[in-house]
Amino acid sequence: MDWLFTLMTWVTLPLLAAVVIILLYCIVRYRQRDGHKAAYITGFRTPWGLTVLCGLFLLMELPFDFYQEKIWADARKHRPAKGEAFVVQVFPEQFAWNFRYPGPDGKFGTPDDVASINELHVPVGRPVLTVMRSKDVVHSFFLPHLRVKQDVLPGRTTRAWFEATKTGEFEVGCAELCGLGHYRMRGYLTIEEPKKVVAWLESQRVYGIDESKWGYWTGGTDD
Amino acid sequence: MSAETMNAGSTEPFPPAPKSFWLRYVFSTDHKVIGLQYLFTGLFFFLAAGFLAMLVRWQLAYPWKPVPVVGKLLFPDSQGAMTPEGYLGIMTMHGSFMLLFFIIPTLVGAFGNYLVPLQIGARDMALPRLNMTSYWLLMLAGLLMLASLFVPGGPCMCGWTVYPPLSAAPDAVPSRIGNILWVVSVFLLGWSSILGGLNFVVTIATMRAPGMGYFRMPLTCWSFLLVSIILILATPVIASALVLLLSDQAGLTNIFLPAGLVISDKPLGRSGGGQPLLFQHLFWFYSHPVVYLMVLPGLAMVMDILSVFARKPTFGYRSSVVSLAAVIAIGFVVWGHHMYVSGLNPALGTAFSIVTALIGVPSGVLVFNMLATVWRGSIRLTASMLAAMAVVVIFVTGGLSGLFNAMAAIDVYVHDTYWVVAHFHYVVGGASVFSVFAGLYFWYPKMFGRRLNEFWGRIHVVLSFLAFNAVFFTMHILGIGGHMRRIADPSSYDFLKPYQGGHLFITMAAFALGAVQLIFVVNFLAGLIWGKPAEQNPWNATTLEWATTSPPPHHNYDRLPVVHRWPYEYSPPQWNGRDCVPQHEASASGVPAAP
Ligand SMILES: [Cu+2]
Ligand SMILES: [Cu+2]
Repeated sequence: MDWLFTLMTWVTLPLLAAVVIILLYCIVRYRQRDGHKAAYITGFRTPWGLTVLCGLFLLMELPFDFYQEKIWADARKHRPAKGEAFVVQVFPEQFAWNFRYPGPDGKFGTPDDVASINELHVPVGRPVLTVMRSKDVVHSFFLPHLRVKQDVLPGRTTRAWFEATKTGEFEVGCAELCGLGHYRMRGYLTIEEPKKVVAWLESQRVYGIDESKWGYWTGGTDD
Repeated sequence: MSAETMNAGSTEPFPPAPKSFWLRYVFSTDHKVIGLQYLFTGLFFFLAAGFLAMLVRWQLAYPWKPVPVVGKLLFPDSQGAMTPEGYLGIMTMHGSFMLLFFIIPTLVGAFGNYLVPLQIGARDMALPRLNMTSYWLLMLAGLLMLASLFVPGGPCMCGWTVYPPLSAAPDAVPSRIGNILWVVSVFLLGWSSILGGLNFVVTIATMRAPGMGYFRMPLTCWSFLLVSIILILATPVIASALVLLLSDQAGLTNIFLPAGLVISDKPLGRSGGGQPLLFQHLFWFYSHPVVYLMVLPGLAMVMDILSVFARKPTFGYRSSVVSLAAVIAIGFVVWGHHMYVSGLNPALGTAFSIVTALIGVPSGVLVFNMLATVWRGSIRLTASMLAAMAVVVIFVTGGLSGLFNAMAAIDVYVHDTYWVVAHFHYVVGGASVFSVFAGLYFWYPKMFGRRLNEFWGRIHVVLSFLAFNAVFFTMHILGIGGHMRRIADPSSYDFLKPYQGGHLFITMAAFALGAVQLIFVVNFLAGLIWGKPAEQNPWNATTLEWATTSPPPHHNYDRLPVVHRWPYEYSPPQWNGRDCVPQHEASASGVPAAP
């Protein structure tokens, strides 16, 4: 996505500059002065002028549409296979991120599940699939450093996926206005070696699953 | 005698202006009075929205620090510091005031009402009492919106997009009453819009002066005819959506509320079954086209003004009309580009990306025509012309940044960030505001019969343009950094810490932008009292509104004009080197008829 953005920037900035330069040129070159009269031009002389103009605009845009579709498809259409991905359930509420992990058996809704609040740990180098529902209003799951954003709605499951290539500590943001605490609805994303993720999950087991939260999960257990 | 000249110079009797003050200036049916009522209402909300923007900017530069001067008065419970409630309420009201109560009433209500009858050579709108009704519906809507500032719980805090469940479920935000008032107010505003749109269509269809064919109307007039399609076809959709939202708020239905909602650990206890996404579809089905409602009349006015001050016919008149129509037509099928990350089917994301990119073609033609109009002209740099040129640059900037967010792949990252904030402040905010400036500097002499101070007008436009770009161009950089919008305190995220300096810079520039508007206010008010009296046609323009006195009499024209040519006969090759030939001037024999 980043290279498409950079490419677009290098195409659009010169266009903007061209418009400004043309206007400034006109202001100087065609300013009102004695003996200078405006030309009487009502439009292109042939319909070809307009056709070529429209064609140029179309040709400029279409390649970008094709490029962007490839990135869009990776981000939204090619969901990683069930067995392959590290799956996390995301269940935000005003104003916190609840996460649930399936535990060693790989299944949700079993006693070995692990839950955490505002702390998301995922393995590096493996596709991560988040299965999301909101408990109350619309939130938006935003991982700025991974270029991931997906609204999370009540009464409807949405998904996002990504594959991290670097370890580190990052932030999770809420990008959809969700109430008074919207500005501080922050989570922490830790990307680490798969072994460390397992160890961290075991360390969280002591906190158990808060049924006063997860009891309201309406998304089912296997999606 | 041809039909064209049948009513030539008609002096048919027209009811005289009412004598009583109330009927003449308050409950008036005169399109000019109503236009000015819209104008003053709109400008009031413009200043109010600008003031609210200053509060927002203070908070973003100095989070939770006491607001100088007005802080103690506005936030007595927090020693003058902004509160989260205050921030969301103020931000929502800023957006609602600007979009719904400034841009629509000013560009469509004020300029549309004032100019359409004058530019087509009519004595009034076709349906004057309906016209008065639409103004007073707007007034009522505005008063309700203002009243919501003072109700317990505060004004609506859900953003101007009022997405449910936030806006519908009780206790999701403290502003329960405010949310309801917002919905009722905008519903009334919708009625005002629908009636206004019908009136424009009927007026233009039936009241054109003899000889005024559709393709002899100025682009300004065309734009009001075309955006009326949006008013008539899109507004009922939002109005219905708001009725449904209201009934959800009242607990009667669950159209946008799914089952199993739990608000702060308390189950809502509603049977549910609704879909929040449905509201987003209905909302944007209206709110995307309405963006064009806000910007196209401004662009058309700018095209007319560029032509007058370049003393050159507008370039590609018919292609501009078709482009305006094409933008509106395509504009009805692109609403999904606001919903790429909402949970929409990804295949729709692809489709909406493509149709949105298509809008670039007619928009590009419009910009090309604007540039080609000034090219080889003889340019008078009046305040109005400077503002018009500012609109070109601002519209192009906003259009180009729009190409980024039109692409679903890029929008995933920039959606709901300051990139989008920057984008719509260019394409809707700046383009409309500077169009209003251009229009006011241009038509003020006609409206009030007095001249504005040109020197201070130019200073105001140039300084505003510089400050505007300092504020909003910088916001693109915040957006590239992933800075979310509607965040009361950016310092609560570590990854946003580097942008605090940017916020400080934007705030300073915004204060400058606000301060510069005082020049405009003083110029405007002083012009009413001390302005030089305006002649009938101070800019040597060709259209019909300049064929009568400034300000026009109650019945607009002593004799209805007859139209002989298109509205852009500037620097014509025939006519012995004359600078321009007005639309209503009869052709001397031997001079070939212009288009
Ligand atoms: Cu949230
Ligand atoms: Cu849109």
